Amino acid sequence: MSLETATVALRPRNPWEATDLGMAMVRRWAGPVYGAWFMVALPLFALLHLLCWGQWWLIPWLIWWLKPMLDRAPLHMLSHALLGDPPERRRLRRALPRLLFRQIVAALTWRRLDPARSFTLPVMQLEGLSGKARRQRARDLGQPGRGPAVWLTVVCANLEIALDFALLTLVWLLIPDFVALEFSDLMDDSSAWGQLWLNVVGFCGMSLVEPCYVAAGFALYLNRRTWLEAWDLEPGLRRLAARLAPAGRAAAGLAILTVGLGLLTVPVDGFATPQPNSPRPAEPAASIHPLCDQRRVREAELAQSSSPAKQALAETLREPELQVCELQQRWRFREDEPLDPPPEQPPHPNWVAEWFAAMVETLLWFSVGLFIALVGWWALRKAPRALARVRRHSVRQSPPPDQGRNETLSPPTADLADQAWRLWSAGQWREALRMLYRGSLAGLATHYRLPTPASATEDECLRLATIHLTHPELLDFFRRLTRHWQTAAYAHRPPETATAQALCAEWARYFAMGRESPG
Amino acid sequence: MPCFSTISFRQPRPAIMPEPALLDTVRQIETPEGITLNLRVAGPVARALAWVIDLLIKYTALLALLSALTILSRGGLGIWLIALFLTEWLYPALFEVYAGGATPGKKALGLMVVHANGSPVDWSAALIRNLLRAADFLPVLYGFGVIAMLSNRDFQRLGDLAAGTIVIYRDPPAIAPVLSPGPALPPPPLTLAEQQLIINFAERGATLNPARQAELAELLAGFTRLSGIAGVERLRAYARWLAGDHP
Repeated sequence: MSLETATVALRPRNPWEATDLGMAMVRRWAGPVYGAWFMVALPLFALLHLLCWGQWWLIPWLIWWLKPMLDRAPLHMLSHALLGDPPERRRLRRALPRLLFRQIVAALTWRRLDPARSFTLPVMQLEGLSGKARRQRARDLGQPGRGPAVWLTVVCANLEIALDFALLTLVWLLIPDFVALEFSDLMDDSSAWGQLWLNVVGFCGMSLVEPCYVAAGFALYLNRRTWLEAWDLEPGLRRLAARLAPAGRAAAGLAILTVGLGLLTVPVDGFATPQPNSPRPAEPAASIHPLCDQRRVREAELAQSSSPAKQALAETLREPELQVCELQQRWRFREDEPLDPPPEQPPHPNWVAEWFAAMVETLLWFSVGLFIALVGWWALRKAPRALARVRRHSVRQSPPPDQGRNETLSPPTADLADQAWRLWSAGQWREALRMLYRGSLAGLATHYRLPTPASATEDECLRLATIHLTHPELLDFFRRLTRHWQTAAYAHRPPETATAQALCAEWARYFAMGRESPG
Repeated sequence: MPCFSTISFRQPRPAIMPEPALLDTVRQIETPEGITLNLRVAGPVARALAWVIDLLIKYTALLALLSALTILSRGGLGIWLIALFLTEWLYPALFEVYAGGATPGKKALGLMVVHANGSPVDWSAALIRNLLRAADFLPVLYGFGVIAMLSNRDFQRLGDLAAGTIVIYRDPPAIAPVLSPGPALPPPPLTLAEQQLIINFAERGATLNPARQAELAELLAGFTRLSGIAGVERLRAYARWLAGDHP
C-alpha cells in the first residue's frame, strides 16, 4: 500500500486519541461506511427473521453472534477510504463473497469472544494472514495496543445498551398521554410483536455503534503500526526524495563529468595520491548556497501559508533591508579536540619583564593581606560600637515610655531615703512614696540581681520578688512598701507618718549599703 | 476588449497549493503572534471511561456519607440528599475550575476541559456545561450526548456547545530531543516541515527497528548515495546539524 495517498493524518498518538481518529473517520465517510454496513446487515437481519420464523427471541442472539462477519464490509470501506479510494457500491458487492467467508469458521467460533476483536481483525482481513503467521503478527502488534482495544470493546458494548434504552425512552416520551402505554409495555417481549419491536430497537443501537467500533479498532491498528514503522514519516521522506531527485541527478552527472575530465588529464598513479599543488575546492562558495537557499525556501513557505500573520511576516522579509544574506568566516578553536601542548619556554627569558611581573605579584599579595587585616581590625574594634550605634538608633525610634514608674531605672543613690523623707516632710507624700518604690525596684535590679521588666505591674513585680528573693525580711519590706505605694498612688490615702518614717529607715537598711549584697 | 488595463502594484498573492486536508482530531488555533496551537480534542471512549471513574468516586463517597449519617435517622437522610444534590451538580464544575480543568477521572485519562479558544475554563462555562448535562442525558443514559459527540467535529456534547468548551488531551511532558552523539553535516536546503521530518526520524531511532530505519533512509538514497546503516547515519548527521548540535 502506498501511504502517500493517505487521507488521514497518521502520527503517533496515544491509544485513546487513536480511537477518536476512528470516530472521526466514520463521521467523514458516514455515507459509504454505514452504506457498507447496511448492505450486509439489513439483508441478514431480514433473512434471519425468515429462517427463524416464530422463534423471534433467537434473532438478537444470532445477529450478535454473527457480528464479526458484519464488521468486514465497513472495514473494507474504511481501509480503501483511508487511501483515498472508497469503492462504489458495485465494486464492494463484487468483493463481498470473498470478504465475508474468509476464515469465517474461526472468526465465529474460538475467535468470537476475543475481547480485542476489532484490533486483530485488520491483521486477518487487510494483511491476509492466517494460522500461525496471523497469531504471531497479532502478538507482535499487540502488547501495548491490546489493552485499549479491550477497553474499547467494553465501552462500545455499554454504549450499545445505553443507546437501546435511550431509543426506547425516546419513543415512550413521544407517545401522547391518552395512549395507555407504560414503559414496561415497550419492553414486553411476551408477544410476537413485542419481540419484533425489541429486535428492531436492538438492531438500531447495534447499527449505530458497530461501525464506530470497527473504525476505532482499525485506528488502533493503524496507530500501532505508525509507532512501530514510522508511517507518519514515510510519505514525507518520499516527497523529499522526489523533490531532491532532479538536483541530485544533475550533481551526479556533474561528478561523473569531473571524474572523466580528471581521468583525461591526470596520470593513473596520480589518481591514487592527490597532487600537492592541486587547487583546493572552493569550500566557501559551496557552503554559502545552502544557507541562503534555506532562507529562500523558508520565505516561499511562509508566503504560501494561509495565515495572515505569516504572510505579513513573508512580506516584511521581502524588504530590501532584510534581503542581505552573507557568510562570514572566521577561525576558532575546535572544542572536540584537546588543545595543542603549551608552547615551549623561550630560550632567553626577558629578566626585566620577569622582575617586573614578580614585583607586581608581590604587591598584589601584599594588598590582599592588608585588606584582610583591615577587615579584621574593623570587625574587632569598630564593629561593636557601630552595631551599638545602630541599636541605640533603633531604640530611640521606639515610642518614648510613659512618665511614671516606667522610666528607665538607674541605680539608687544612697541618700535616696533622706530625700524621700524630706519630700514627706514637705507634704509631697505621694512623690516620697514613689521615690522609695522606684528606688526599691532599682535596688532589686542592681543589688539583688532581680530585674523587673518595664511593662510589669506592681503585682507582677511583687510576684517576681516572692519567687526569687531568698531574703524573707526584705521580701516582707517590699510587700509592705508595695501596698502602701498602691494605696497612696491609686486610692490617694497616705500612710501614717510613723509608718513612712519606718519605711525610709528600712529602705536605707536594705538598699543604701553600696554594692555588696547581703544574701 | 478594453484598450487599457488597470495596473496593480501589489504583488500577486502566491498561489496556495490546494493541499488535501488530512482528516485529524486536532483543533488548530492561531494566536495573534502567528503561532499555531494544536489542541488534540478527546472523543467518546476516553471521556466515557473518565465519566465512569468519576461516577465511582462520587458514589463511593456518597455511600460512605450515607452510612455515617444513618445515626441521625431522618435528619441524616435529609443532609445526605443535600449532599447528593451538591455532588451531582457541583462536583465536575468545582474540579474543572479549581483543579486545572480536570475532574479526577479526566486527570486519570489525561484529559482537561478548556474554552474553544484554548484558554482555561472559567466558572460560567464550567457551570453551563455541567448544568446542561441534563440535556445530554436525555432521553436517558446520555443518548443525545453521544449522538452529538459523534456528529461534531470537536466531539462536543450539547453542554460543550452551549458553553463553548472542548475536552482535550493534556500535552505529554516535553522531552528534550536526544540525538545520539556523532558528526554533524549540513543538509541540502529544506523547508521547515522537511527539517522537522529529518529531526523526527533521528529522534525516533530508539523505537524503530534498524531494518525499518534503513528502509526509510533508502528512500533518500538517490540523494545521500548511501545505503543501509550508512544512509541512516547520514540522516542522523543532518538532524544533528539542524538541531544545532554541530560544533
